[in-house]
Amino acid sequence: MSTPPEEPWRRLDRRMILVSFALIMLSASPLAIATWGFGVRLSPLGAAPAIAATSLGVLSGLRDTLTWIKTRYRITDECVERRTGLLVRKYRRIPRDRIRSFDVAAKLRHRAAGLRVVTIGAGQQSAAGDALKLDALSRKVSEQLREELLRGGQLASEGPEPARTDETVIATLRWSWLFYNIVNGWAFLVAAVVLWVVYWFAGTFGVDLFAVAVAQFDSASAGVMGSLLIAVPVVFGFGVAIMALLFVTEYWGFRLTRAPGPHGTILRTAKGLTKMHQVDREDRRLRGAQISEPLLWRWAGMADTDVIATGLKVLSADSGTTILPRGPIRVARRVVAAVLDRDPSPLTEPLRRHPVAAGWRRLWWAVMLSAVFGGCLWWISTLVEWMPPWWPLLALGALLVAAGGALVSYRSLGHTLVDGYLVVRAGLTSRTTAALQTQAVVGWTFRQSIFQRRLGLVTLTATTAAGTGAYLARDLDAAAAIALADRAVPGLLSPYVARPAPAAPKPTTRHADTSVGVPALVGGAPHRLWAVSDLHVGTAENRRICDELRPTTDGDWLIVAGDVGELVSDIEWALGTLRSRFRRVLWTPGNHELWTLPCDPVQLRGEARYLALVEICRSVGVDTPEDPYPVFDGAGGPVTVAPLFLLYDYTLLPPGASTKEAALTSAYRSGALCIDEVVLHPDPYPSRAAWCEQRLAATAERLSGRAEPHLPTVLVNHFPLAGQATDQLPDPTSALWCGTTRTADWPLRFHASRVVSGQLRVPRIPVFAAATRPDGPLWLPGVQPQGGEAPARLQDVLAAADQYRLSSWKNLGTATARPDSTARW
Amino acid sequence: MGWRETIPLRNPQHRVERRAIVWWGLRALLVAVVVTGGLGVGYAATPSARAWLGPVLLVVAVLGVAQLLVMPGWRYVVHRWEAGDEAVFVATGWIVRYWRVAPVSRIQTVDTRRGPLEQLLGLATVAITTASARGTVYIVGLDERVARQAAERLGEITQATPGDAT
Repeated sequence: MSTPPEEPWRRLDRRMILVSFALIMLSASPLAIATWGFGVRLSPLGAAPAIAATSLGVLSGLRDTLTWIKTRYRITDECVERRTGLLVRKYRRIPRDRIRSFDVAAKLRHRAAGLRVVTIGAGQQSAAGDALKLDALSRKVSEQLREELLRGGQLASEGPEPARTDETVIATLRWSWLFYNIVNGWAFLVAAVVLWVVYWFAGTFGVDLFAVAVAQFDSASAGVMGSLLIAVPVVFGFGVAIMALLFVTEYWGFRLTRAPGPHGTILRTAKGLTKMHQVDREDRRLRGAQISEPLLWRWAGMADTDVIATGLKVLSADSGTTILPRGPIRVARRVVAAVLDRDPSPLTEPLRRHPVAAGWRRLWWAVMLSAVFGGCLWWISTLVEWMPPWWPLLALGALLVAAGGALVSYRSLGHTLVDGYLVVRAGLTSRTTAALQTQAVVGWTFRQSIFQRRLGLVTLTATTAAGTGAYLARDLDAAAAIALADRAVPGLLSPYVARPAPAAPKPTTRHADTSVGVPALVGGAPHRLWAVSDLHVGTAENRRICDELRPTTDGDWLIVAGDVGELVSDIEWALGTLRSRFRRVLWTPGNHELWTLPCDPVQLRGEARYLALVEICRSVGVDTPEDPYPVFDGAGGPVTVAPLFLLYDYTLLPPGASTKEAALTSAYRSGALCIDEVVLHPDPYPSRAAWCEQRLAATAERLSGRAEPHLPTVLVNHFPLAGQATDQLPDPTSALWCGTTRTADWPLRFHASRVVSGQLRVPRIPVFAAATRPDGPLWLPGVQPQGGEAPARLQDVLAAADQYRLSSWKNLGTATARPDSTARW
Repeated sequence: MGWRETIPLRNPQHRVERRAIVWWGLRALLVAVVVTGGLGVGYAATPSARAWLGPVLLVVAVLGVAQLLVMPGWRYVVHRWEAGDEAVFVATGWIVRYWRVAPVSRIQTVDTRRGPLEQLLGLATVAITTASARGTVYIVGLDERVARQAAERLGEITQATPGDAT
């Protein structure tokens, strides 16, 4: 289709003149009826409301007529243009590629005449009146305009109504939600306004409604309290009824749909009985979503749902961000999942709790505010006489309310990082959970008051172009805040992260083995890859040891090869602490992490527990076996470091046993059965061996498809990969729970230069140099913190010292074996 | 005892001008004079209100003087800035401290501003806006020449960095 060189200017629909005339007639009618119909003699004051309404209507009608006369518009290939204005000529132009919204609305008078008001928005949040409004076009032309502008098609002169079959309906209104949207405090205000207007209008006709009401109501018999008891519910009920009316007219035929648009799909809401309203939002401008639960409605499971998008006004009354009326939270969550096209939605992810110190901070504020309130009351009581003598009770009440608020506010805090979304939750009067795409973050702000500083807290703000412009994770642990921001937008923060300070300036007495021991701070040295395992932070002593682990340079990595602890809270503490000191921490679970102990508040079992731990790791910025394998390029690198989680399948048989069943039976009889059999659940797999089978298949596939296959690897698995490592166990039976024979060829198969594992009940972290070393396997000693016997040692994985061979490890291993330990691990 | 590390971020490289202490002091003084002066006039004019206006005036005056004495020096210790090729990093505040990081790829405009007091002292403020309505980063208390250079340099880097301004 060829476009004429000069696109002609077009007029608005001429039916507007008819509508304007009708409006003028209609708005004059109350005055006319009052004067001629009822023969009311108008006093200037009494008639004021009616006169005002009439003049408003007349003026509005005249303005509409003038608008029609003076307005021209046209749509060219590049832009939409409009000329208007009576005295001051106005010209407005919006380039077509900047059009961000296309609203179609119709008031009753428009609908009656088949007209539509079209508002084309360019989406700046700041400039008021930036939108281009065409008031009004015929319904058909408005539909064509939408087609043209949003689909990039040509404006057709005639055509059928556009088909709606390509829309996918995400949500429609259920009338059972009516209740949640109309019963609230606003009902009083609405009732007051309506009653006042009615009272004044009746006054125009010479009727004093207040006198009528009082005459109907025998206040003498009811008394003041009785009158109130009757009047308040009546007024409230009246307000609710009006709210219901307003809600029904606004949300009639509500539909939330997804439809095709010019730049990908659009999210569309259509609603309205007398005033039809339709809002389109482009999906490519969506940056997230949020669900707010107002304090009292939260306990009824009700929530409000908004999208976080660029180019939508947030604070306007007719906000385009709200995509659903208040309704059940499960519907809100389902809608968010559909809108973000991500199931489960980021808003249903389990959130990380904030430090208890955040609760103390809130409580402190509650106490301080109540104290100030009490102080003011006391002060006023010394100045005036009308203070009741029981004013201290008021102060006490304020304290209780404030303390309760502090608790609610603390409990609503939460955050997590999941799949490209930063999820934060906070709020006292309205608990708001917001999920923001990390790629939409345009900056970070860390805030710390002197009180927060004492408590070690930081408030992290992600600034963004979308929504309210800033999303806050309040009162995080200071190190966790850095880790969260660093993980959400990798690389941005790293130049500014402080080098970990040495715990205390220690004299430089080095341990006998230069490669082990708590590393001294070496400035400017290449980054090193450390390993530690079996930290078992369940005991205070091991906790202290874990807390004292320090890197040598600010770029050091740390491998944690399992058995960090048993309780989820312990594991989170340990990994978070280590992550705050090491540039990168890689974790793989041991059997202890997977235990579901009765004393753990987190009662997840099996795979669910493992995946929950993975999420915790991600939220504190620790790599897991589920994350892409990173490349370490410090000293000894580059190598691909692959944390693996493989479990065991009872194929490592103790000497003398011929089958798995026989070995297990024998272990059971001798009382050497591993406690895993009781507390390590394989759910949803039928057995631990089946789980191991699944892990082996999935892991081998990922290792084969690793990003840089030419690089050597460091394989990290809590359970030893090679069978011979179990030969030296103090209790041979325990080999059953030490891995699988099926990984024996993995070091060779996956080009491993080192294999790091834990688990073996020996005071060593074996680092096994494989494949690339022709002179046989190589073991490095390390000391695991075991009941506080020895200080924790970090093992430098790549700087392998040659003097430690398998034989020397054997000697050390047997020397410190603990005869009573078999049943515990 | 040294300045205890509060957050595992290092300090930005540059301090602001020493003259900024004077600027903060003058601003605090102006606010204190206006507020206590207003209250003082009220106190003198209405004898009936003196019973409650007296303590309020006292508290406001004490707070004003305390801020005047403490704030400028404290701010000077805290305020630092740095503009690298990748991001702008600014530390501000006193009782409440802020660390702000804005990546260069997300910067929209960089401009310098000079209020009357700043002009008097030869100081300038650099305002760095991003697409976020709440993400503007201010660097206050710079020498006007330094501010202009910083703004120009940032402008150049911003031009050279492929950005996605939303």
